Parts: sequence; structure tokens; C-alpha cells
Amino acid sequence: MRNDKTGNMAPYDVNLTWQEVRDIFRTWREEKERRSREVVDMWLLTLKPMAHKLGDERFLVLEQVCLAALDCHNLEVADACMITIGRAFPKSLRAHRLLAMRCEAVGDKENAIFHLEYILNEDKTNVAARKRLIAMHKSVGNTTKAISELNEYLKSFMSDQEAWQELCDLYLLHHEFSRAAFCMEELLLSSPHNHLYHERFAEIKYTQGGADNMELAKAHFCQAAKLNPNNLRALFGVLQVC
Amino acid sequence: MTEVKFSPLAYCKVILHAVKYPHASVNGVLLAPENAKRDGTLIIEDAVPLFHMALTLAPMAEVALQQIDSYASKNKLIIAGYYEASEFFDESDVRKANRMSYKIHENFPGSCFVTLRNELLSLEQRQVPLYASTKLDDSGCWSLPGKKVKLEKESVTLHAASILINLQTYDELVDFDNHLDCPSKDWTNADLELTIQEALNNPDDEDEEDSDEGVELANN
Repeated sequence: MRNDKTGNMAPYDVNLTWQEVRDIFRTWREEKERRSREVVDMWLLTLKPMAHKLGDERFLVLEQVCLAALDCHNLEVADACMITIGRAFPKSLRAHRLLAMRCEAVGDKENAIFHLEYILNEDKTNVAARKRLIAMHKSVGNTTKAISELNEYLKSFMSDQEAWQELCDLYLLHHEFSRAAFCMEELLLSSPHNHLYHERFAEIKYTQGGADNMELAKAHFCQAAKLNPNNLRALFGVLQVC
Repeated sequence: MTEVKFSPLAYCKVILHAVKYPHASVNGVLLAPENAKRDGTLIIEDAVPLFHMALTLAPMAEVALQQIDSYASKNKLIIAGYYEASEFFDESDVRKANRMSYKIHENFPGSCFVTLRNELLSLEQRQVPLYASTKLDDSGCWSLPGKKVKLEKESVTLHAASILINLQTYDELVDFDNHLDCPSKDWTNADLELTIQEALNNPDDEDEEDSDEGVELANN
């Protein structure tokens, strides 16, 4: 298995057993890795024929493969997964979300919005549908609207780390470094032991410039390096800032 | 506006970088021979892919530029441009260009700012999707959209790029982000250069090899 430190996998790696593929999929689900092409290839090659042996994980894997297939615009695989999930969970809003994403994947924005709003009518607190609506603004390049909607969302769901990360990225796109730094501060509050958050916060402070920001950058680069001495960005950061 | 011409190597690297991260914006710097003039045609010899995450942050960009500067002067090249491929297919918000491009322009006023038009990028390369701007307008911003980039040996290069994409060679491309995650990876992409040269020199060998294999299997 050609698997280097960053986890790049060889496509069509025929030597993996179905159990290994299942475990890799589980790791990627937990770490929220976006490896759509590899997921679809490995599913078709190795895991699909043994899908009946997956037990409880079966529908989680089907959902993962469906999302990966939509990413790769492999509608055949996506539809097959959606049909299986839909038969097992006919009234599920989580399954309905997949239908909305399929509309998005083919560029049918009106129907995608229709399905997402249907989900929100059924369940006003459905986080996935709300986030999907925000993602649709981003997908058409309307990042300003995405930022304002995301800010509204975070007023109600302020512990959603994924949303704060997305908002930080959107602010960085617009060079709004002080607001991006605020988002990272929220993330640091919830996960003070995450070396990646310290390092990203330090990079933003360094980019802002000025003596106070450089001091903060130095402190956070050092903290990131202390939490993970292998974080090369943190080490370079300490070098740059001193 | 001066013309910008890409060597096949630079073109393939830029396209492979963009295709490797279809969901993200990517950027990088462009290298030209050290005697590159400010007027006339700017020839881009090589490209160094930089980032696919948080393109606007300064510290790692500075580290990268320092290393690339030193690499460039050893190879008698200069940093002569900046390229960026946006993650958005339709971009309705106008965004400021990356500060790095202006920094490069300060050091070399003949430098270019190259953008990739996503709607012209396809798996089978038929036309060059890169547009270059070499001038700043009155407000000090790059005057976009710029002119289409010229390509050395255009049809051979486009064909080679299509083959490389189909063979998923972009998995072997190393950008500076990959190097920071795993320092043993070579951001100069020396190995990839050989693969690209092979695809350029032997564009039809790919088909010949396949048919040879077919014959062997049939005989066995």
C-alpha cells in the first residue's frame, strides 16, 4: 500500500482487503477527510461486493460513498447509494439532504433550495440543511452572502467548530484578518490543546503585522511547537517572527 | 502589455496543481531566466506550486519565497510571476489580488499575474485556460482580465497535459503545503519533471505501450 506520511493513497490499490478499506473509510469519516476520488475507487474495487458484511456501519459507509460520488460527479454510484438509503429510511431528513446535494451536484439550484427549505420547515433546528444553504451561496462565489448567513447561524449555534473554521476561511479570502483572528480565538477557546489552531492563529496575527500582533504570533507559534514539536509550520513561524 | 509565454514544463505543473485540488484555490510562483527583460515577451521556464490552503497568510509564503529565491539564483532563474487558480467556478465577488503578486512585482517590475479560467479547464486539454496580466492600473491593482498566455509547442503540450491528467500524475506533484506536512517531499518536483518530459517527448508511446500489453496478454 503506497501510503506516505500525508496519507496519499495509490488509486486502484488491489492489495487491500475489504476489512482494511472499511477501517480506512472509518478513519476518514472520523477525521472528515475529503478524499472523494479514492473513496469511490476503493468502494467500487473492494468494498462494494462485501457491503453486506459491514453490519452497523453499512449506512454510514453508503452515505460516505454517496457524498464522495457526488463530489466526483459519478451520479450512477451516488444514485445507487441514495436508493438503498432511501428504502431503509424513507422519512429521514438526513437522507433527504442527500437528495438536495444531488440537485446541487447537477447545478439545479432551485430544486436544491426547495429540498433544503422543506427540511428546515420540518425541523427548524436541522443544522445540516442550514449549513448546506450557506454552502450554496459560497458555491456560486457569493462569499459576502455566505459570511452574513454564517454569522446569523453562529449566533444560535456558537459551539459549532466546523462553522467557525469555515467563517475564518471566508474572512481570509477577503483579507479581513482581524475578523478571521476572532474566529480562531473562538476555536482556541473550545480546543486550547489543538496545535493547528494555535499555528493558524499565529499565522493570521503575523500577517496582520505590527509589534503587538508579532508578540502574539510568537507566543502562539511557540505554543503550537510545544504541543507538537513536529509541526514544521510552527517551527518556521518561530524562526520568522524572532 | 507584454506577452507571456509558458514553457511546456511550467504549463503542465500549473495545470496539474489546479487539477490536484479541484475543491480549493491554489497558487504558486513562476520562474523566468535571469536575463528576462521587462519589455517584449516574458518566457516562463518553470513553476513552483505553493499552497492550496489559506493562500492569503504571510509567514509560510515568506519562507517559501526565501527558499525559492535561493533555488532560483542557483539555477540562473528569477521569480517573475505569480499564478492563482480560484476554487470558484463562477466568481461573483471581486476580491483583492494576493499581496505576494505585488511583492514579486516590486522586485521585478516585468512580472506577471496569471489566472486560470476554470470554465476553460477540461480533462481533454483543447485550449490554454491561462490569462496573464503584466501591468498595474492607476489604482495600483493588476489590470485584469489580461491576455491569453502563449504556449511553446502548443498542441504537443496540450496533448501531454491531457495524458498526464488521465494518468492521475497530479498525485505525484508536491506543492509547498505538501512539503511542510512532510519535509522529505521535494517541492522542486525534480522527479515529476522527468515524467513530464517523457510525456512531452513520447506523446504516442502511451498508446503503443498499451497495445503491446494487449498483444502480450492475448498471446499468453
